This record gives sequence, C-alpha cells and structure tokens, in this order.
Amino acid sequence: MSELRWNPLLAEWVATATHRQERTFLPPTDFCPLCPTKKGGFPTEVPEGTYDIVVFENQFPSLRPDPLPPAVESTDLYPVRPSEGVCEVVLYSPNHTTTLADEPVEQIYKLVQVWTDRFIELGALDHVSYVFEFENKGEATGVTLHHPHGQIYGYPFIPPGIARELAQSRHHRARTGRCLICDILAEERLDGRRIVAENNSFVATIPFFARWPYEVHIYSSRHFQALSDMSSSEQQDVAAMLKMVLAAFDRLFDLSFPYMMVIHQRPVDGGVYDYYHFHIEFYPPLRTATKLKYLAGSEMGAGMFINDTLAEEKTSELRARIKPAVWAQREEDRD
Amino acid sequence: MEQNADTNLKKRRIKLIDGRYMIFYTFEDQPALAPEEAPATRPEPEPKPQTEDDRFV
Repeated sequence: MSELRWNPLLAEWVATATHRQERTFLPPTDFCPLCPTKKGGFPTEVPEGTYDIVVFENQFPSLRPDPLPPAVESTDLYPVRPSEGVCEVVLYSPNHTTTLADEPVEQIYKLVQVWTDRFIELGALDHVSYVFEFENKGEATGVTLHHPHGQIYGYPFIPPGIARELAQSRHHRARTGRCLICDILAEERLDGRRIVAENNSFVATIPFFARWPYEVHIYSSRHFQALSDMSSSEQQDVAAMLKMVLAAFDRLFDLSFPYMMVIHQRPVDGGVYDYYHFHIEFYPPLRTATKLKYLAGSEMGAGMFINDTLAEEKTSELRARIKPAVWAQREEDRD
Repeated sequence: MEQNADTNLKKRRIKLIDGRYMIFYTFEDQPALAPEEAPATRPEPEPKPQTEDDRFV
C-alpha cells in the first residue's frame, strides 16, 4: 500500500509505503544486493560491474511513476493522492567497502556530473516538482545497506523543508533586495570563525545557526540555483570541497563518519526561483565519537533544536583536519 | 547509448526483469583541467583536545 496522505495540522504530505517493511535489512557483505552479480554467484540487483556510477529505480520506492490508486478515500479534511514520483538509487562504486570519503576526487567529480544529469532528466518530468538528491551514511542514520550509495527522490510537490527556505529567501529578497544565502555567506566570511574550508567556487562552514554539532553547509560563492547552472570548473570545485569535508569528517574520530547529506536547489515546477541559492547541507548525528545527537521531544514535538555545542568550537576541530583535495592528473603533471 | 559531448559522460540504459530501469554511467577521457586548489583556508588555531570525559559523559 502506498499513497500520499495530507496532514492538515502541519500542511504537509505524508507518504505511506507499507511494502518498504519488507526491504533487505543489513545483509551480510557476501549477500549485498547492490554489489555486481558475480559469475556463479547469487543474482544481485546489479547485473554488471563495469561502470563508473550506476543509477536505478528503487526496488522499494515510496514514490513511483505509475502508482496504484490510493487504498483509502479522500475527504475534505483528509485529501489523499497517489504516491506519484520517482525514487532512484545511485551507486558510487562497484566496490562494496569504499565510501564517498575514500573515493578519489575524480570519482566525486563524476558523481557531481551524474547528479546534474539526473537533475535535468528528472526535472523534465511533468509529475516531478522537486528533485532531491541525498545520502544517508552509516547505521546511525538508518541505512539498511552498507554498499556506498545515495538516493534521489522526485517529489510531485515542493517538500516543506525546501518550501520554508524558499519563503525565507523570497521574503529576504523582497525586504533587502539581496539573496539570503549570499548575505549568510558574507556574514560567515566577515566573522571567519565558522569557516571550515574555501576554494575558488565554494565555502564550507558550520553556520552560526547550526542545529547539529558538525552541521556543515557548502555554499557556492557565485549566486546560482541548481547543479545545472554550474560551469565545469565549479563542478570540479564542489567535488574538491566535498572530498575535503568528507575526509575531515573521517579524521575527527578516526572512524567512518555517519551523516545525512542533502542538496538544496531550485524546484523544477516551472516557477521562477532566482532568489534562491544552491547549497549542500550535512547533518552528522554524532556529537562525540561515541554519542549520538537524538531528535527528541523539543526537536520533534516543538520543532526547536538544542545544539549542545558551539559552532565556533566544532569548526575549529573540523578545520584542523582539512587537507587539500589532490587531483591525480595534476600530480602526474608535476612528476 | 547517450553521450554528452561536453563531459564525455556516457549513459547506457537497460531494463531489469521487473521492468525497472538501470542506467550505467561511464566517462571517457575525463577533462583533466582540475582547477587550482586553494589552500585549506585561513590560519588554523590549535584544535580543541577531546578529553575522555567528553567522550563518555
């Protein structure tokens, strides 16, 4: 059973997807369904292993292009609609044991190009209003498969978290004539204490208002709205910035750092969103090497986050672990 | 097979047994014009040491 149910109290859609209860849950490494099928081995979801990146429709989607009719009737108070949309899986590598942080920057650059291609292709679908690209990494974030992968949701509406950012950005533009994130970036640069890293096109910061101890935001220096607006040089710069931040995360506690990584860009519903600003956000659930930040009563029940740390101090820890991303071709040129 | 001439990105789309699509992305002769890396930002203060207490309280 799968459908979208309207929550009139919060003015947002909730997807039911009961079939997802049956999905594979933390299988042994030898039985990973996302590894390429081996000769004589059991058939996995991926029949071939020769690729840089592979993308496919999720076997257990919460949104799909051809949804079944809802199992319940709509009422005036409780509208219901089919769970139309797209759910894709993005495999970063045929190698089961790697992570995005471990991959060379060249591979992350390829991923950026694939994200861009998916944004354009899914964004052209009539039934998709928002393309949401993200990764949940680590059991602490609820992953059920360890093979390195991200996901893409094509929502048939603008999701509420994005709608709220859009509204704030629109109001700020109307009030000041400026972009909200350009102003946030200017203020972070002026202060400087919360800047984690910077390259030619992107800035990583744990912003003043961070809700999680290591909540890194990566903002583009130039004002644009989507992956498809980037130049090749900017694509390489965002790959380099991701490599630097991800590797620094792993160095924090000398472990493979769990996180949720989300890409925020403009909707694809045909509207004008020139006031919005492309960025990437990380929500790592660890607050120390052994302790998790839980979303509890205040966060879930009241919507107010309590951050047990100061962004200025956490930035200092993370910045100390930043190393430049190294491009192999440039290294070869030097030799 | 689809190809993007600007990036040498190639897409090969197949249909799985259950009807889902799968797209294999490969890149040939990826442009090696990596931009200059800026150094890792500004002068770095000493990192805050993490105590055992901090880890387990």
